[in-house]
Amino acid sequence: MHEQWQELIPFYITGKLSGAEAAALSTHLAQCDLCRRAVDEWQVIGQAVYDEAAVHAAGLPPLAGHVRAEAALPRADVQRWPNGRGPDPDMTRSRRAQKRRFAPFTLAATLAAVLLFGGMVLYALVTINRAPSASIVLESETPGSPTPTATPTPTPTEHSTDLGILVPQPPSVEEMPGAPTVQTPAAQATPPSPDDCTATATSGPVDVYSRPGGGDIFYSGTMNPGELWRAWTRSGDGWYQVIYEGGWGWVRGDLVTLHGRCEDLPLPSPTAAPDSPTPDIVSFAAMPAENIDRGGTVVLTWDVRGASGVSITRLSERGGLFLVPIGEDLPASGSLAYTAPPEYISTLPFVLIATTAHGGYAEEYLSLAINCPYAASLSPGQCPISQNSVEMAYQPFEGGLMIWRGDTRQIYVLFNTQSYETHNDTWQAGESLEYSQPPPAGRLQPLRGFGKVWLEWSHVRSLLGWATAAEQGYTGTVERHQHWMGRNQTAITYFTLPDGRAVRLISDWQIVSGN
Amino acid sequence: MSEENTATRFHDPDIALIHAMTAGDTGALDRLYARYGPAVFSYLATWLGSPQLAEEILQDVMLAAWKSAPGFRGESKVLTWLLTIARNRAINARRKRSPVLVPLDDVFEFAEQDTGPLERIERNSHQDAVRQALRTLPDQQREILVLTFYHQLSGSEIAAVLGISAGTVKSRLHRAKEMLRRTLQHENFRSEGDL
Repeated sequence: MHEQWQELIPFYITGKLSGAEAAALSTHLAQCDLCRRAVDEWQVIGQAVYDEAAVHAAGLPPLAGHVRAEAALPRADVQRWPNGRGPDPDMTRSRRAQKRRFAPFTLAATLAAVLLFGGMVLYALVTINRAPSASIVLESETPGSPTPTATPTPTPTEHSTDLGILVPQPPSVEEMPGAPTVQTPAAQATPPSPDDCTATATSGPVDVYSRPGGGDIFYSGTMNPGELWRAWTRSGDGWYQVIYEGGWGWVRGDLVTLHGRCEDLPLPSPTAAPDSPTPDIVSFAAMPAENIDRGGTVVLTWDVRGASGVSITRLSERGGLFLVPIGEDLPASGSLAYTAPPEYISTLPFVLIATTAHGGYAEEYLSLAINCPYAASLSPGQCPISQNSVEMAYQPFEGGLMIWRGDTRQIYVLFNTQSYETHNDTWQAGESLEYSQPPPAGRLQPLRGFGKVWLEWSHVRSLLGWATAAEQGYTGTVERHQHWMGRNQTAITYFTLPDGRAVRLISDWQIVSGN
Repeated sequence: MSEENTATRFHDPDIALIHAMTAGDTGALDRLYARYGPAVFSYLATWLGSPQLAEEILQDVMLAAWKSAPGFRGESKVLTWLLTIARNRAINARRKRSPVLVPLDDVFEFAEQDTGPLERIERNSHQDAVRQALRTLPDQQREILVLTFYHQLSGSEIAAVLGISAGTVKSRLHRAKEMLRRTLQHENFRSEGDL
């Protein structure tokens, strides 16, 4: 049984267990000394592995010129894998198999359609409502803030189609200073007529993707039953390009019912160049601008032009690999209030990501310093997670010392070898302890909680030896501090000794400078 | 799953980077490199035992990522995907170039060349002892420890990168720990060894 728990411990330390697994293991750890020791051992190993690997990461060379040069070439020969797993270029067998199953379809061809029908994004027919994340308070867009202008969408007037659906009336080309220069077919500047090809969901909502072939990373919206979307082109493998507010998308042909003249829909041109304008992040700011209190609230404000997707993500205090979206599908400009998680101690970093339906990308980072609520720290320069004044007891031994914490009723046994153990104080008032032999001259038997641990654990007794002075009560300071293993945060304990020196408990114990 | 892992794939900014690369944005390749280059480079250097060869393969990996970005489906994390590419490239390179590989010990000695003899004698803490013991592990065991603790992948992600079962991931980790324990006891690195 222990093996099953112990197998989880490496991933418990790195935070990769599910909530249920982590909770179950935490419960088990409370009653399993062996497993707690394994946690300590794995933490030592993990830190050593991280430090060792980080040596190499520090020597990262620049991206080579030949890579940049090759990346700058057109993607004419790019192969698409409509149903494939993430591609591994070395998995040639699966790649060959996919080539047989799917007709080659170039990215350039896909993007050619984008260019050809670029103006269509201005003539939205149906609105996809984008709700903000429920976990945040999303304020209305900033009054007077400009709407996106890279592909600006003047406020449309509503127009009733023949089918009774209210759709925005398309603006004229002259109203659109940022509109693509591609000549827009006249038929696209008008709402759908029965002669146009339109699509409706056959049964139930239909996912819309930013490229034919789907794939959840390219999901961009939903076509709901009853909505009428204009279909502009087709992919050749059963997907149809449809138009909605702010962009275009692709739907599976077997999930929609087509109306009107659909047999003449063109296939995308295979020769047009990609059109991937970069969104413009005009501003991304915080109020307060630089510092907030721990657990305080910050208002993030942004203004982005020419993006179809805007999101804000909270980063971990160290690096960006651990990402928590706090606002997604955000409007082009707006603000949101966000309360800092209490585990953030020194910095609170965010990144705003703006994307376009065609692959345009921009990002901007901001970071706030978190005010330390404590005037002093046992670890100079590092703000504690918590700081408490605690009734404590201390007793020196031949081979180390024992510390009792009144707040948690824990006993730390610190050996002169720098290793340490933590025991629960189970001694009750009035409980008598049986000693097998008297102490030698000049030495003492530990009493009460110290004595019970000393008597119950033979290795403690043999390593510590006899007490060299009587137990001494004092009021100490106990702090919890952040400890990083890579990008994962754990907490370690600092406390003061009667003489004011500070002890840090990590994989071993150390005297550190304190107040 | 921890809160940090709740990001949906669709809203993962890394996915947006891949999307931008797909659309031909070479700046996105730079950002991908800045974000994951250190992780991939560290993995390659640790696994290959040669920073020089790791540099070379790292460039191949980034070019491969650029070329295959349009097919990335988000069914694994971007980092996992890059590590899988890196591992396959490294295996091929190792097969071709094994006669010129720099011995692993030399690599780590290189990494510590600023440490003088006296300081080495004084380095007797647990961390240093464990780091020394790590260098003696078989490649497979060191590799899985690096993926677990440096890249901080989940068990299933490690299994995907290495092409092994989740059970093998666990047993390999267990063996790595036991090997470390034996090495530390044998070398009397641990302070407990003096007890």
